[in-house]
Amino acid sequence: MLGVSANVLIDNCSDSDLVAECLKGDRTSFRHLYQRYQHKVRSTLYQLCGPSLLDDLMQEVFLRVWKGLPKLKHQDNFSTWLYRITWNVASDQRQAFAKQHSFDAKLKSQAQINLVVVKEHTSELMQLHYQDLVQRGLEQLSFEHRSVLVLHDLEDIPQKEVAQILGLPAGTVKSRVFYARNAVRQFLQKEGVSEL
Amino acid sequence: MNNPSSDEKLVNFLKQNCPNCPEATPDLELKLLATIERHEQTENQQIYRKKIGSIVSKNRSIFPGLSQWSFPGAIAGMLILFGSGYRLLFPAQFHPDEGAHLEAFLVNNWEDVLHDSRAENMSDSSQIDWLNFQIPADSEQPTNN
Repeated sequence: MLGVSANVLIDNCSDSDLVAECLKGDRTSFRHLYQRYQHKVRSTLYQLCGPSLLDDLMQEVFLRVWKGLPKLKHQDNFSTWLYRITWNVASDQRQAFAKQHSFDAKLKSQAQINLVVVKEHTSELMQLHYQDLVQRGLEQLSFEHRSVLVLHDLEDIPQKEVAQILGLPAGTVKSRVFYARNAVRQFLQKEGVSEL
Repeated sequence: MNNPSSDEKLVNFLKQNCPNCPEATPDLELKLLATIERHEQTENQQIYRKKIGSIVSKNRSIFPGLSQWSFPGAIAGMLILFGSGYRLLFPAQFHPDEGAHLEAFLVNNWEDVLHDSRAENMSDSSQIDWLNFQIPADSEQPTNN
């Protein structure tokens, strides 16, 4: 009972309250921030970078957050700032992957492994097929277009905020969303998805 | 321009069929906190070192003696060492007149010593007389009794 009421209290706390507590050195508040945002950050990193090193990237994001908290000017914009850090970490990782020339190969092989492992469950076959298509559809986009599509369409972040996260004009974000959607739609239709 | 409903359909399709994100390892949160702890410790150590460094540099600025005078002192020491070494290796040369005077002095001195010793040998034998056991006539003769 006590635990439930404590959770309710924490849920009522705003990000800026938790940030203020973190700045006093309270790590419990930082844990609450982590628990509040870990799924979003993880999902975004996964869509942008794939499954490999996901835990390491998560750690990197939240370590950067902890280090950077004293420099955060507008505590109300914590989530925007957090997504910005997430995107930076993903971008750095993409560059590292590009140097290794193996990122796409890893993604494909991982997808194939997943497909083979679960192919026996025929009821999920269609679902897996669509997941594979979506993953490939995202992969064929450039990192810039994929970032916009992931943040806006999959993470439900408004275009204005996406523009703040990526440091771009709102018009650029809008045009990138338009381009990315068209590219993915064409890819899916070409692969036989007719319901779009 | 795309139809908004078409966009909506696409977005729904993407959300529904978005690949499942793999679960985090159970201890990821603890690992993160441990990493933060290590980072804090490292940062505190760096701050401590910086403070020590600033105190040392302040003391240097208050007492500049050693660092300020060490270089000129070293140069002066080397010059003294070089000068004295040179003196030792190459002793000062005599003037030719001084050499002649010295030679004359030594010759005279030596000759004087020789003359004195001859004269002493001729005139004064008292010093070795005591070595001769001259027995006076009135002294008691040793007996074999």
